[in-house]
Amino acid sequence: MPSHTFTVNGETVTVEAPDDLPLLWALRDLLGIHGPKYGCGIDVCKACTSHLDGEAVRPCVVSVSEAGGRRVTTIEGLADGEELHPVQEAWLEQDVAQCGYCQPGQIMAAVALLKRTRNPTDADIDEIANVCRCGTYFRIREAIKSAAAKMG
Amino acid sequence: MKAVNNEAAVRAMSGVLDVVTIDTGVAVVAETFGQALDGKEALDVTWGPGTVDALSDQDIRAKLKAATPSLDVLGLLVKKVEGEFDFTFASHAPLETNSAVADVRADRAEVWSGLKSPIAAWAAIAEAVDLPVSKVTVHVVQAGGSFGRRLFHDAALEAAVVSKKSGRPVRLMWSRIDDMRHGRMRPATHHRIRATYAAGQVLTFEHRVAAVETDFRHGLGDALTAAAASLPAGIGNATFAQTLFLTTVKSPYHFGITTQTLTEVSIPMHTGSWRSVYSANTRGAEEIVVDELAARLGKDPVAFRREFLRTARQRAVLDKVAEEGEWGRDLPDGRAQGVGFHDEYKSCTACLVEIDATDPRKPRVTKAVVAADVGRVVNPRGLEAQLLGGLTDAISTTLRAGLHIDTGLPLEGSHSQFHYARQKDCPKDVPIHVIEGGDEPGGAGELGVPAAVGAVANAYARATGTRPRSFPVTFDVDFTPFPR
Repeated sequence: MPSHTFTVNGETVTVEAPDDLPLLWALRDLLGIHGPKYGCGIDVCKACTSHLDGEAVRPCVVSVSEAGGRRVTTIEGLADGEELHPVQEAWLEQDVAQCGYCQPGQIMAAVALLKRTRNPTDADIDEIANVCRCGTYFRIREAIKSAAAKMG
Repeated sequence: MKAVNNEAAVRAMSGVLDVVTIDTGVAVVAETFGQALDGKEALDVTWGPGTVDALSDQDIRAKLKAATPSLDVLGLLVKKVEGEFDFTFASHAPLETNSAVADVRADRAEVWSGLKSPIAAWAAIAEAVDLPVSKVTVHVVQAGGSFGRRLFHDAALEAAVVSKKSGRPVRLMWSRIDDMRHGRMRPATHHRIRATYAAGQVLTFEHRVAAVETDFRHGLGDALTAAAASLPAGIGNATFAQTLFLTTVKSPYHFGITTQTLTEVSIPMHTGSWRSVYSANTRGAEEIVVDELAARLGKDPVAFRREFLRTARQRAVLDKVAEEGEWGRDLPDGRAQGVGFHDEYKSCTACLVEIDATDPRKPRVTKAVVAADVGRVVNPRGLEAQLLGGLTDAISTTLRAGLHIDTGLPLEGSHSQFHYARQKDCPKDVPIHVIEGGDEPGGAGELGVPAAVGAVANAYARATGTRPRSFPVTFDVDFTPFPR
């Protein structure tokens, strides 16, 4: 079985897995990192959104071999120790989550958006295509704007 | 299911630990879900017939239309407004697919699942694994929002049986395509509505609903009602359906003689309660007719509702959205406001939306103003969240989200095909106003949908100058279906 070494949330990890195993299952089933959620497996629901070298990706369509030597960040690695990321703070402030299932992906998508543009317009926010089946979209929008204002 | 034709080949796949045949399908047990899903994809199964292989949307729609009783009032001699409406099937589409964890041993069993009817599930699991209930422990865990889907405990049952047959603990999960095609859905409905009027008064308001039977065999949370609902057709489930319809659906207006009836058409499909159950379509369609009645009588939709609502409390909620939403303000061509009202669960709510239907094929609700009086408010932000969720459900199912049934199965197989709203489909501004009511708390979880269905449909009608009758209004097969 091939082995793959990469960093997850700052720690170097090695997993034994077939090259084509989606990163999502290496994270969830081999490493026990459950923040990224399965919702479709084909990059349409975006519930597993995480970062690869700082860019938003969907681990359900990234193979574990592609992650080799790279830096994976999931929702678990977003906070700085005990200090939440400003986007997480904004999420709490706006009480965004209902069931919460899509929210790790929503937050990771929002963090990536704010990295690309510090002051996102409504049209920029519209481009986040993550499904929220509880329909919390308006609060997500408000939380992103609030985080953007605080992050300056 | 008749046979797995390539079991040995699937067992030989990387990470695959077992292939287990159960009553409802074939489970592939593997070290990771990725490998289990690959194994599932590779299965070559000869399936037996389904329950509705010959039926497609047009057949079901024709059955519903034929089953809709005629209206009592003679339509010839009076002034009237009437309409027939269709709503398609809608997937619950929970983002977390059907799932459960089970550890079944020779002398005991333990199951973890998101369950809305855990007592009924407990009894069913014990029976399925042939253990006394006292040896079975069921843990109810937090679940992804399922909006009715997890009233059914099929995942827990499957996980338990697979664990027993495979002799190991299992985490069971359905793939998205199976969840959408073989899960549950809100039944399609057909509506025949007629209102008669004279001298500025509404004399009668009749509504005949025909719906594919909603499966209530999960009961009401206890084992007794689950058993009662499972009595033979025409006794158990049908009684539940009528009781639910009659206790939840009512008109908030003084419209003279008002009758609302439900006729269920027994088609063996996987249906289930979907947020707001009968009220979303039933009251949504009525709110459309209310707008058309107002227009016929030369009255403004808000003023007309105000005149015919029954209580000051209802009028206060309607007034709130009219005021906060600047009802009647000028909007450019292709854009319009719409309003809807609903009263249920000792609560009432009004919704005012603005829609941009400049391109009638791509309408977007740009703003929504919601007001509600639910009596005593326990958790104000939670209440607003429920109303926001109901609004998003209404935007989705009114404008774009539905299932096409093609020879027995939905064509839709993922979230790229079942068009539940995304951020780009939702309003950029949603002020929600909570009016503090009396001492007794009312319900709010399902309250928000029907008024918003009416508001979105009415705004679309006004913006486009059309009379929408079939929902969702944009419902093309705009994708290549996955293979069956």
